[in-house]
Amino acid sequence: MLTRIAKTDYEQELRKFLNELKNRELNSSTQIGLAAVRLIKKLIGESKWTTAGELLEILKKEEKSLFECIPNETNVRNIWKRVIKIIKDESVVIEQRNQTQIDSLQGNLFQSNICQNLSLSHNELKPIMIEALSEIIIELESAVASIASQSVEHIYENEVIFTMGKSQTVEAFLKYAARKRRFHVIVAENAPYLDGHEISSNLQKAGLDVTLITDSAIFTIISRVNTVIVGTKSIFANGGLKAHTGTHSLALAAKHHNIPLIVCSSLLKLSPEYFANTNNLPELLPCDDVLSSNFQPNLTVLNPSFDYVPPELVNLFIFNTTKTAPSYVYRLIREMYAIEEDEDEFF
Amino acid sequence: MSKQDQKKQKPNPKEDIQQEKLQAVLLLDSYGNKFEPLNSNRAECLLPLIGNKTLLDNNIEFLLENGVEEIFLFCTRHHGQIRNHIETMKWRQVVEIHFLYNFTCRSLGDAMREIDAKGLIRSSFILMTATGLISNMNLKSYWENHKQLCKTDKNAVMTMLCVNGQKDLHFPNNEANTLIVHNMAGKILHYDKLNMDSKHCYPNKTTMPFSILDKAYNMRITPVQHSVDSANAKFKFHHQSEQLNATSGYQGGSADTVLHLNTIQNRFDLIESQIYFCNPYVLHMFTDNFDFKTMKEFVIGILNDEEVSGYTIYIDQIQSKFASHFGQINSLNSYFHETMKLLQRVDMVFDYSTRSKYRSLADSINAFAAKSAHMSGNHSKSMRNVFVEHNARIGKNCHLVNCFIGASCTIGNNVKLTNSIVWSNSRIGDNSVLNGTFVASCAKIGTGCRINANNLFADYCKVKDGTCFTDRAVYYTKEVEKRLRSKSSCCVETDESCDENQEAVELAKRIENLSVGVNESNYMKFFVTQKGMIESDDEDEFDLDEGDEDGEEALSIASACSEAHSTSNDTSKNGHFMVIRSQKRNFSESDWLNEWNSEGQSTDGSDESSEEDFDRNSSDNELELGEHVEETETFFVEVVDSLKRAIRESLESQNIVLEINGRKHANGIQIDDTCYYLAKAIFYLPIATSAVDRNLTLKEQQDGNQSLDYLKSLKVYLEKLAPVIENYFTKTKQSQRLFLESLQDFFLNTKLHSDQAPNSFLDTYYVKTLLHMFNECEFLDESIIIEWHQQQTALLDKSKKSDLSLLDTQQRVQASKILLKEHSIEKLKPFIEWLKEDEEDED
Repeated sequence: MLTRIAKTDYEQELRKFLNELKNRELNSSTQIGLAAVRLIKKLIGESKWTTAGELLEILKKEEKSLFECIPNETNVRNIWKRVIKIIKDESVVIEQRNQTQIDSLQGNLFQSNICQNLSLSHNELKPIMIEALSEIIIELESAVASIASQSVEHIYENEVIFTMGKSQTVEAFLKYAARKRRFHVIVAENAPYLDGHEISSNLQKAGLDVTLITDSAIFTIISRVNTVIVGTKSIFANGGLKAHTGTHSLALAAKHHNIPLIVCSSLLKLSPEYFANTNNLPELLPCDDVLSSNFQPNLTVLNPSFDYVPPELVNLFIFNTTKTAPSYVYRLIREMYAIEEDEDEFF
Repeated sequence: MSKQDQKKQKPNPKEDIQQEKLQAVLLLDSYGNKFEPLNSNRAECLLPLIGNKTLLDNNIEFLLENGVEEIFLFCTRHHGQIRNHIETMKWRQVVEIHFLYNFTCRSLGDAMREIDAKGLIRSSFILMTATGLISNMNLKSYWENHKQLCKTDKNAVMTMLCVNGQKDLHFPNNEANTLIVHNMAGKILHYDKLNMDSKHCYPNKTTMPFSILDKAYNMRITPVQHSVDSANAKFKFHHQSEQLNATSGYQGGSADTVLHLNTIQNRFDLIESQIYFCNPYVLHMFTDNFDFKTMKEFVIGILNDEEVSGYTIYIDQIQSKFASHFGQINSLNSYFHETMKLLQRVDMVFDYSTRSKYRSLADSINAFAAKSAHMSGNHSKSMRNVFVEHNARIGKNCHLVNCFIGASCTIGNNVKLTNSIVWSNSRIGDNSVLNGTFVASCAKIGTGCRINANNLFADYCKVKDGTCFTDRAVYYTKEVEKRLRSKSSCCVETDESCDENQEAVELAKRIENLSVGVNESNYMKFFVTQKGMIESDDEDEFDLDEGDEDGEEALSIASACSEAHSTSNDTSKNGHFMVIRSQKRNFSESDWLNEWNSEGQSTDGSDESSEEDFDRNSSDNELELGEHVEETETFFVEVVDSLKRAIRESLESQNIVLEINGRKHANGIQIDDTCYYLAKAIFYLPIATSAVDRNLTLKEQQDGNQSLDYLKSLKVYLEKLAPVIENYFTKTKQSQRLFLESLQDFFLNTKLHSDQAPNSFLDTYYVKTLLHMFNECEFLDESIIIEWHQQQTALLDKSKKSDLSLLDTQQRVQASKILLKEHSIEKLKPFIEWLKEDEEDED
């Protein structure tokens, strides 16, 4: 990040963004998403392009260099992909309209060629892009609320709900339901970061009946539970989860007792990538988060950054507007992202 | 320099327009010896870290991330190295860097004064040492706090950032233990470094001044804070409770006073992060007070003066956030362990853009290899937390866990490396097993070596094939050792001699058992014994091999015994290498020991070699006298001056005596010393005056016979000063003895001129003639000379007979002196015999 001297606003923004990611100042996926949108806005606003094709080239180039640096930030990449898709869609629509005005028959004939030929001019595309980006921003900002509003359909009176670790979406989800229903929440503390403590005290303040348990007690407790609701860091294209470590064992325990596992997530987290390519293997987090610094350093400590939960353990995804089973996630991905054949790294 | 000047000029107009830039001062030296022996040929701040970075890079990036726009680097040693490094680094372009250096700085205080003299810093700044920490914390909020503080409290000069951390019990570090007493606003009321009891690991009793209660009175406290912290404070206070109760009683302590204790926080658990937010006044204060050498002294000084100057210092406590990291480096051990920790913290070592190129080994966990690194075979299963730099070669079937392998290293086949750090250009042979080992650059480890314990091999070490180490130690080459010694930072022994001997024997045995076959045997070895004692010894084989060829060197190493610096048993079990360092430094004594040993050898052989060392000894001798030296030295100089003047102006002897007595009282010199130095001054006179005339009569000197000159002029002076000499030296036997001693010392220690061959050979010839002359002048009694000579020879015999090892240090020093005298006394023999005969004849 220091190699480039920050000349333009975009580069300054980029530097700031990477720094914030590194220092973990952006503590929720919404914030990361918003920062990424701001970044793209700067890039589109500043770089010189005349046609949609040029803009696409710029975006792809930046995407490549950026995600070599931050291969684990799938959510940022998702937004990037979505913007690319929007440009493609918009240009196709406009081209079609222009063509049909002149000659509808010819236009239909050469439609496939026109799609490739992204010659939409700067002046036309720019307002569309600004509009589209602000739509994404609105979507990001409202995601938590719109997910939470669906909670009443899934949580019923006197149920026992289980969750693990801190997730803003899940917290809002449960709080919303608590306005209309009375239910019990059991929270696993999610060692070693123990953010379960925070969410349980927050829920307690909201008037919920909360029990905090250790991660190791999950299997013992889970037989009493009606529904497991968890958040996730990202969703792979097959419907698998990239979630807090320990979620896999929780999901297996839930499966064992046939308890439904519901995942709350904004659409932003839906990624066109599949698990286990070189970019998204779990990396190891610092061991001093697990052990006190005074501990014997010769001890090997593994602190992986996430768990992969296979899609067959998930029962339902609750997105901003829709609910989907894991087997239908691919459809959403088709809608949201432009999958190109040359980008074989995903498949 | 020209580049820098240009850069300085450019931003100046900007500064007026913009708000003040955030400046930081980064001190590149630690002004200590914590990195010995690694810092012998590289700058401390350029010690490598993982990810192709140095400590300096890491800390500069740390500052950059915290929004620093202008950095002043201050350097004392190795400035060329550092400058070259900076020019090549990429952050050079990102931030404005001023490079300052001064060779003469010996402490942090000196550095601060130097920076103040340059007058470059006008706003508040961040002060940090480049070698003290590794961190990725976010300082912005603390900086804002500091600014806010400066607005509310105009007298606040500094904020110390402290980390709340448990004391590291594995490496008890005496420097790190501080007691900080502060009030609710973080204002420091009392600050003290504590000496840890090595057995119990908690501080001994400390005394706190009563004034902290007064200071606490002055603060306004909100009742909420009060109640919250009362329980806390009570708990923390129980260490000092007795004492404070006593003091409050002393003031007629009311319940009030005791209540206010609750507003004071007593902290043992704070670790100074070595990051300071300073006002520019801080620099001025360092300039005003030349006593301030370290930050500690500064803080204590400011606190003591608080009533006068009103300046205050605050602390701010760093709240650790998710994934924030703070590591303090205050010893080799902590440096090693911080580097090990970084192996597991990819996020800290790599900035995002360099990261991808290290990710070629995706199968294994956290293994990063530069693309140019060459690895044969599939390592994916046997690697974890491994960093391999470019151009490194790794053989087949290697097992690497928690390792850092520097650039251009070569690792053989079937090597097992765990928890190890290997710097660039080192070689490790096939089938070696290394655990917890630190190998510095350009070192060579042979094939089939087993290093189980935690060892440190400094630069250019070579280890023979098949060697096995089981003791924790630091090894370094003799060149480094020499350099260290030339910096006069060598270790000192203070132990009882008997114990030491036994230890030495034990060690010798152990060396044999260990079969340490160290190549070329150019190593100093330090051993950690079971008692937790540190002992140094050279290789026994070494003595046998090379003892004859360069015996002197061998002996000098043998004699450089380390002081037994006791550490608790706990540390010796921990499996970290010990860093050997003596706390006291007493150079002269160790030098004496060296001399003693080399003398012991060389007296049997040739006399001449020992004589060459006389000059050095004389200087050491004066060193040893310590404070006393300064007084006597000035006295000596004054006496010489006044004698010169007296002869030039041919003053009366009465007046000369008065003047000398006056000088004696002025400097507080004992009568014995007066005699001794007066005699010395008289003998010195011819030299002193000839030195004055020297420029004029250079040709004459070259032609003329020097010895005759000296004798002639001395005769003249003696005649003139005869009454003075009679006054001082003929009254008691003691004074006559002193006179003789002074005479002897003078001739032993002086070579007449620097251009003359340094031989006291001639001087002994003088002794004879002089004594003879004295008999003629009748200053000295024959019987006393004979008695003195007997005494000397007796002492000499005694010292010859007695075993060296049975003497304690003091006696050794004396004995070594006597050894020097030996040959002068031998020269005297014929003269004394002649005197005796004379006496008998008279009878």
